[in-house]
Parts: sequence; C-alpha cells; structure tokens
Amino acid sequence: MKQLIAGLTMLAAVLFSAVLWAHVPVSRCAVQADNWIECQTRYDDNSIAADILMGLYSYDNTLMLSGRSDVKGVFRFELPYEPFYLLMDAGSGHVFEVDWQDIDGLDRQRFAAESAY
Amino acid sequence: MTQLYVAVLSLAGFVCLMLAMPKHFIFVTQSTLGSRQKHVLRTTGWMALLLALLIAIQHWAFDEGLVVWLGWLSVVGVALVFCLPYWPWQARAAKRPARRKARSEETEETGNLPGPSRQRWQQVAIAGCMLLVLGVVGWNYLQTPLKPLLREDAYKGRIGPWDYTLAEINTAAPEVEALQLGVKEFLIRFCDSCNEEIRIAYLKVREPRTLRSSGVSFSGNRERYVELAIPPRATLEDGLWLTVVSKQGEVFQQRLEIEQVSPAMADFMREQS
Repeated sequence: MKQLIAGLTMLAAVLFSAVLWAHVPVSRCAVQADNWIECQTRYDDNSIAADILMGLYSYDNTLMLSGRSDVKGVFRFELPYEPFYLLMDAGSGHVFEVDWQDIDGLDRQRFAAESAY
Repeated sequence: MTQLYVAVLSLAGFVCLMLAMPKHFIFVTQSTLGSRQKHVLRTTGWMALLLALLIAIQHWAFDEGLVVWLGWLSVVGVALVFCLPYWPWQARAAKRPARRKARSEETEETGNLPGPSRQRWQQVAIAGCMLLVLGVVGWNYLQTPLKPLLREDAYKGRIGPWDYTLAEINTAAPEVEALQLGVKEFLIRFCDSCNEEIRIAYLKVREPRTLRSSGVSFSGNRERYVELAIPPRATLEDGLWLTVVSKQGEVFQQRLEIEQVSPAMADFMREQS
C-alpha cells in the first residue's frame, strides 16, 4: 500500500511539475508614480513566475541591471535614461522580452530619437 | 480524389486476395484456381494494399494517412463480405427438398410466421445499423480539421539550406491569457532530410537583438511546437522572426510577414496597437 501511495505521489509530482509542462513565461510592466517600473512575471496559465532571472539591457546589449522576480512574481527597477529592453529568462528557450515601448504608462516618444538601431 | 484512389486500390487488393483463396475463386468464377494464378492474385492483392497505403501516407503524412488507409480497409472489407453472397454469376446451389418439407411441416404445426420474412427484417436492421455506423464515422471524418501543416494556408519557406513549413495551429485569434497578453500556437516542420541537421529553432515577434533573446524555442522532434506570447505594443512592421541553429552552430535568421503566416494574429495586433 505504501509503495502504491509513493508511486502515485511520484506520478502526480511528475505530471504536475511546472518544469515538465514548461509554460510560456510572460511579463507586463507599468510605470509607477516614483518613476520606477514594476513588472509582473507570470506563466501563460497565470501562475506566478517567481525567482526568474531578469536582465535589463540597453539597445547595444550592455547589461544595465540584473535580478530575480520575487515570490509574488514582481520585479522593479528604476526607469533608465536610454532605450532598453528587459529579458525574462526562465531557462533555455523560455525567454520573453519586454521592450520599453511595451511598458504601460510610458510615453512612446520618450526614447524615440535614440530607439533607431 | 486521393480518397477515391485509396478506396479503389483497397477494394482491388481485397478482391485479389479473396480470389487467391480456392473456395472464393470457385464461387466467383466457377472454375478451379491454378497455383500460378493463386500466386499472382496474392501478390497483386498485397501490392494494391501497399500502394493504397503509400498514397495515403504521401498525401496525409504517416499518422493520418495510416488511419485513412485502415478506415478504407474496414469499409471495403465489410462491403465485400456483405456483397459477395449477392454475386450474380454464382453456381446454383443444389436443392434440398427434405429440409424444406420439414420446415413447412413445422410451420403448419406451430402456426408461426414463415422464416424468410423474419430474416428479411433482421437483414434490414443489420444494414440500418451498419449505415448508421458508417454515417457517424463519415460525419466525424468530415468534422475533423485538416492537420495545420497540411492546410493550404500553411507558410512554406526556406531558411539557410533548409525548407520548412510553418503554420498556426488554428486560424482563430490569439487567446488572451495571463497579463492580458495574446498567445498564439504554431507548428513548424523542416524537410525530412534536413531535420536531423537542426539543433533548435526559435520564434519571436520583433527582431532578436542577441541569440539569447531569440524568443521561445520550438519543442518536439519532427513537428515542432511553440506557444508565442505577443508583446502588447508590437506592430506588424516588427515582423515575426524565425531563428534556426544548426548542430554545427550556424545561426540563420529570417523575417516573416505576420500577415502571411497568421492573418488572425495580424488582425489581433492591429486592434491591440
């Protein structure tokens, strides 16, 4: 009986493992009153993507800041002075990019002059 | 038209295999079966069935083609079994007066209805059930959507030295999921000879800035699958970018027109932006 319970538990652990299902990571950011950017990190099934590597890059691919999303699936950073993109890296091939133009509440003309490649 | 080819070849194959059996050969032709005829009929029958299978696989790929072939085998097999007794040129069966007499005597004694009318009713019921089953199977077949990569709207392209077919899994608008972002599912299949040369493929809206930010990778072996999240302010000008990495480490990137790959996703992005 114990073996059966252990087997079923293992099976359930495998079937419901987030890694196995490999949901798509997504993130959405918004400007806060203090000129900081707050990003929500989720998987596409709306589960919280906690402790995910987040990298803030300038358009010349220089790393400006890196960190991890917290247990509530939140990552905050101060609004940079140049065009940037945020890379949410949930593992190889599971990457989502947030361009500064995707940030809610941010003027789309803010870095327009510098945004050209 | 391919359905017709598969059906006719399956029927021809079964007829040949049936005639390769002495009992059925005599029933149909009223002559005896020679050993050479038997060999030729058997070979022809199996070749016809094999040809039907190859045509089905060539048209619908292995998995769906196999199912279509088995479906037609079942239909023509059952049809042959039930039609054979009505073969018009069969030898007349010898009369059996003694048994008829016995049956008529039994009818007189018990007052039951004669046998043939009850048999006819049973035949009609069986035929009705079979037609019902065939109708249900046929209706389900017609309702089954064509595989995405076999649809006419599937995008065919070439990246580096490899040909590929890319298709959205369904033609509906992207599903709005977590954080109000649209998600669209795609399948890609590289040519059979080049599939082994490809290590990984990625799909992304907007041009990747580095290989690491090439987007979400396709998973799977032959038919590779990906769920693509659409950035909220992306425009059609940003394009859909396919990145393919070979096993030797070569990287190929290509911009695809979103409108060509997925009109529904293009409409969604127009509304969104």
